[in-house]
Amino acid sequence: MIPFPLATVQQRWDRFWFAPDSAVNLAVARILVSAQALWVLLSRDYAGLSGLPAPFWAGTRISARLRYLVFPGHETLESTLQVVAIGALIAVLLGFYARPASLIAGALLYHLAPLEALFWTPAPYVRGQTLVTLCLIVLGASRCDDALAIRPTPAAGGQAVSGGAYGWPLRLIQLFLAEVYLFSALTKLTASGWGWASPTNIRNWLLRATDDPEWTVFHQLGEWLASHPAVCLGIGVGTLLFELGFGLALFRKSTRVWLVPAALLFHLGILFSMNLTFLSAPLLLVFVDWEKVGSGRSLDRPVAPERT
Amino acid sequence: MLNLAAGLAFSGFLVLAILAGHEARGAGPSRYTGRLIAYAAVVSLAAGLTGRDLWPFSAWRMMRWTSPDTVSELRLVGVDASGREYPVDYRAWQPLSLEELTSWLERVRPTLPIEAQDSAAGYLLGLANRAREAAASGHSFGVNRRFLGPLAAPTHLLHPEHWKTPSDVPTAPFTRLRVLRESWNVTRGRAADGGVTRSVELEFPRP
Repeated sequence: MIPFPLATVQQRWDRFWFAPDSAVNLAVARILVSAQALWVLLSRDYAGLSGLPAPFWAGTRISARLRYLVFPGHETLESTLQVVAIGALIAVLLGFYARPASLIAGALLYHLAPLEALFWTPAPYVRGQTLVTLCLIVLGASRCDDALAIRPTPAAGGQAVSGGAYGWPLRLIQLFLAEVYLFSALTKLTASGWGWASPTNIRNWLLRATDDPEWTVFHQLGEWLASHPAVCLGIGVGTLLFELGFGLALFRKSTRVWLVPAALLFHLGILFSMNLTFLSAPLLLVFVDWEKVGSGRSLDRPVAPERT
Repeated sequence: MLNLAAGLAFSGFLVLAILAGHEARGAGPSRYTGRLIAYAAVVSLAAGLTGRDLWPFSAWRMMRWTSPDTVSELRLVGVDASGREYPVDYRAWQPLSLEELTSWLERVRPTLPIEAQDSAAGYLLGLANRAREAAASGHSFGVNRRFLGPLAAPTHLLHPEHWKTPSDVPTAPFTRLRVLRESWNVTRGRAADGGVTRSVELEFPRP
């Protein structure tokens, strides 16, 4: 018997993580994650990076190489692994042995993606493969191919599947996404304090990102915003509040209606004013109730077994 | 130490996922599912709250500093036999992305012996010239677009294409690679008189 309040904590934990969701929503998450991972994978040459001349890798610590099992100079091997990763991601996308394929793709991306930056940093975040690596591992542990799959995995023993089996992986993927904003705000506040939101700082960032000949594609929006101190203040305060508040989307479904579009607009604004991309922005669509969109049904009701 | 901890953190995540995945063949969540959730939540929160990157459990330390009035960046230029400098299109450096390359030049290169620095610079000069030749003859260049063409995923920072058409491309080969440090005041802007201060960080071949 678990004593109070542990029992209450346990109940709330279970209620949050194992709230029912639909096989369709999890399947859409599977498609979004694999499509984004594939998009970035097909847009990089990780094997070529492994083949960089030795001086480029001379500063990389042995512990960092061991961490990712990266041993530069094996271009052919990395090319093969890249092809396997592409194949695994296509299988995940189509729902063909999607669960083992997800685990394989996630493990391979953990190895391949750091090649993009490992020669100077072991932390390759914001390069498009961070969230998807985590999400693929989660998908591999879940019933992600019970819908929208060309080869669904049947339930063992013909048992009914509870809605919670679709809820927890979605919630975990949503948590990873919400953490991007929360941690981004916390690190700003830790490093710079609330002064980060000052009009001067926002203006300086905007001007820096729109007056650099190697980092500027879009000029006009950033320059216009930078010329209006009140707008800069609004951007600074608004950014911190938005990033601190995005986590509400995890707990209150009603807030997703405006938080998700706001997040997409946030990234579009950064793209056109600062020339910075967030390649994982399409993953925000995992907060959308696709079953409701598709059929008009609510997902707040318990989910009926998908198959027996 | 952090690399070891991060590697173990991901290994634990993967092992728990495999175990939970084996159980997920059944009808519902089970004991390993609960452990996987708790593990992922704790490790990801630990990375974010301590600011220690345990990639792919990331601390997402984006734009956390205040931007100063005066900024400086490294710039790579190709130099022809007459001594004239030209910007090099960012795609020329692929598979290296420009921001990773300049970060390496800034942080790692100065720690290397002169011979290693020259070896790397020679490789970069070769990349620049091969891309220049391809671009000048109207061929595609830049390996990142080999599958998806213009739909390829961009890097975190967007970069302008200096060589959009063959007429944009320098006709003479680059005989030197120069790495410059440019500094400017963001309020005055680069276009102001004397707006940009430049110094040579590296030149290959060395003068």
